[in-house]
Amino acid sequence: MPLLQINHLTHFFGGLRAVYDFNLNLEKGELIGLIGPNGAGKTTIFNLVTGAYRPSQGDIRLNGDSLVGLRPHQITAKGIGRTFQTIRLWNNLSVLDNIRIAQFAQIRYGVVDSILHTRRYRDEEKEIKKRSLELLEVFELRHLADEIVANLPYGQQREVEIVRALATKPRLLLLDEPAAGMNPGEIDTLLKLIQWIRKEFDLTIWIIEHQMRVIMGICERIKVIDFGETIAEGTPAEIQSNPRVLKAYLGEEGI
Amino acid sequence: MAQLLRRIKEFLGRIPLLAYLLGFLAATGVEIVAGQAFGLLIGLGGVPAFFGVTAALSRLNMDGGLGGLLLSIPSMLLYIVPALVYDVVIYGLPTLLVGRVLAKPVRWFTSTLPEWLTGLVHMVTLFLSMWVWGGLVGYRLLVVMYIGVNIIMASSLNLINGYMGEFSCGHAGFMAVGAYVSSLLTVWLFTQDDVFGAPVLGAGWSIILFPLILIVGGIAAGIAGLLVAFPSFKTRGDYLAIVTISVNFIIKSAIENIEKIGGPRGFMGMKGVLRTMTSVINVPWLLIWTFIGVLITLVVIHNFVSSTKGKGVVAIREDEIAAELMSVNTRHTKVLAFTISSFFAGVAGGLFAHVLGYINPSTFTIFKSTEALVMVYLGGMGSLTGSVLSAGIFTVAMEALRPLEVWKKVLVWLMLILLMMYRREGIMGGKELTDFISLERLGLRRPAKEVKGYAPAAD
Repeated sequence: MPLLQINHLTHFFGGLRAVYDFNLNLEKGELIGLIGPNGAGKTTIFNLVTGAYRPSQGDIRLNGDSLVGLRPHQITAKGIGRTFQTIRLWNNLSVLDNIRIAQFAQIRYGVVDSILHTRRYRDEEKEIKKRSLELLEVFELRHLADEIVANLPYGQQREVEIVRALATKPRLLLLDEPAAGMNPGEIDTLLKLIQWIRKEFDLTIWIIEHQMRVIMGICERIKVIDFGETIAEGTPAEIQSNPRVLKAYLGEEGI
Repeated sequence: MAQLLRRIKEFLGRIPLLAYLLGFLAATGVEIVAGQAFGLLIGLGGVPAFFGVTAALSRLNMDGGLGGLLLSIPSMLLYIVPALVYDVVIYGLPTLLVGRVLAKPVRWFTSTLPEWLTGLVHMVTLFLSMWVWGGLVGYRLLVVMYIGVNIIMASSLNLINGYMGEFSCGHAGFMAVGAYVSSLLTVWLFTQDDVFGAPVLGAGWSIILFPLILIVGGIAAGIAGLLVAFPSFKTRGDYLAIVTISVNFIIKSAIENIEKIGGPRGFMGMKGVLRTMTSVINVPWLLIWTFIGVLITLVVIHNFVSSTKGKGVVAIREDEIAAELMSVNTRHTKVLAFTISSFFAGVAGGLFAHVLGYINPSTFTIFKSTEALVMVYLGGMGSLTGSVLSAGIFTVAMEALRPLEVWKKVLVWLMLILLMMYRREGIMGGKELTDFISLERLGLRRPAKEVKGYAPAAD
């Protein structure tokens, strides 16, 4: 059974058809890409998968369980983590707090435990903090744990956002234009990081990108959409030579 | 000059909090023994109720136009000088002297106790000094209790406006629910009343049941809080603010239209409840419960917002959509926040009703809600110690400026305008007092021995 199965996903914003008949089978361990020109509906698909929008039609299944109608935090708890196109960290909180709060779904203690500081509360909080610091350690961000997120440079905020997504214990990680606003050097580092995360955390990764360079380098399979419709699917090499893609996405002249 | 200031700062900084409290307790003792005589001697005509501030301001002639006002200024100044002398001699010197002498013994004493016991000793000392100081002039006790009620109001509203970033301006509505529910219960159970008839339970029960009834009032208010919590799933910001105002009016109008509990005329008889309680054991019950209420409120809210679960509240303020997508159950969190916040508003209402002895629906209008808002913004959003400070400052200012009559309100709101223009973040600016003065320095926590492994939690 595929990890993520999307069948005939269609979404309308009023009369506007944002996504039309999108299908995808994502096997465990894959690293795939979704590309398309601006406004093609890429982020909308992520928002549908994570429950931010409820699809007009179609079905989304994670390990065979339907996700349609669940609230976003429930979907996240089932194992889908994501980052955002524009960074959406909790800016006035510390790096550590950002990572801690992302483990909300793992909290078992009740509000009374938190008020009375019961043993259960203390054990769980200790565990959450330990795990957060371990995650930060892995990304060499440990020394920034008490830093307020808003004070970090852009590149580090991107990293913290990835760490925060990992803190939700995902099986599937959705990265929404992770390389946006980065220079070529930073992009190379990011690509290595993504590949390393995939191995280290045993993840399936789905990336949205519109910079061709990023996606061609690391994805095994790429889907291309334009105006909400899938226009091509295949290996990077196939995509690069597909005339529809060249026309719709890369422009008449090609790369 | 700078060096002198530094030395003063050093001198004051060496004295732990408990020594200050004991010093103040000693000062109140001095006042009991010598206050009256000293006040007469320097021409104050006795013990000034409020450090001489109110009495000084009442020298101003508010009815004689601008000329009269200006002419009365010298007489105010003539009063201020002896009042200052009184404050220094009766309060200042004994506090500093005793504080300095006791600094070392106190540090040694607290180092032998576990931390929770140290905290308890502080609380008991603070309570005793308030009791003794307030006991000398009845009016002081009233102000102290108002401060307590306002601390509960401000810190519980801070959970919504400061920590969660929603704008609730209907806090007085929940206060009203708590005030009415608890007053009706106590009057029905413990007093002879026109509406309810003879007391249902013996006087002895009043001692045990009073705090439980306050909690019942809080629970009723917490349930009323759901009136805001559920709409908050669908709407936020300015629109939710409108919802909170509406809820405030709904509650007020509902009470106004129940003839049985006095309707717009209000409800009284709570003084009788207090008489019943003191007839059993003669201690200042309301001061005790206000004090305990404040402590519980602060501990509960502090512990809640510093837990990972409670930090979900702050995540909602920072970015609600990201919070929901990063596994925070935002609806559950909002219900919790609104319920906790209105629960404490209800408890504050219960205390307020019994302190005042009389309530009526028009006490709990949007004006009362605004006062709570002012205290939250004055102290700083998201700062509990800020709320405590501002509740103290605001309540005292409102009382001390009473002689200014109508001008009091102008002055207070003018201060608010200036605050919003020049220091929007409030007194504490989103920080806690403990970020400036460490608990170790205050003597509330023992100095850390050696930190092994992870750094101490930043809560």
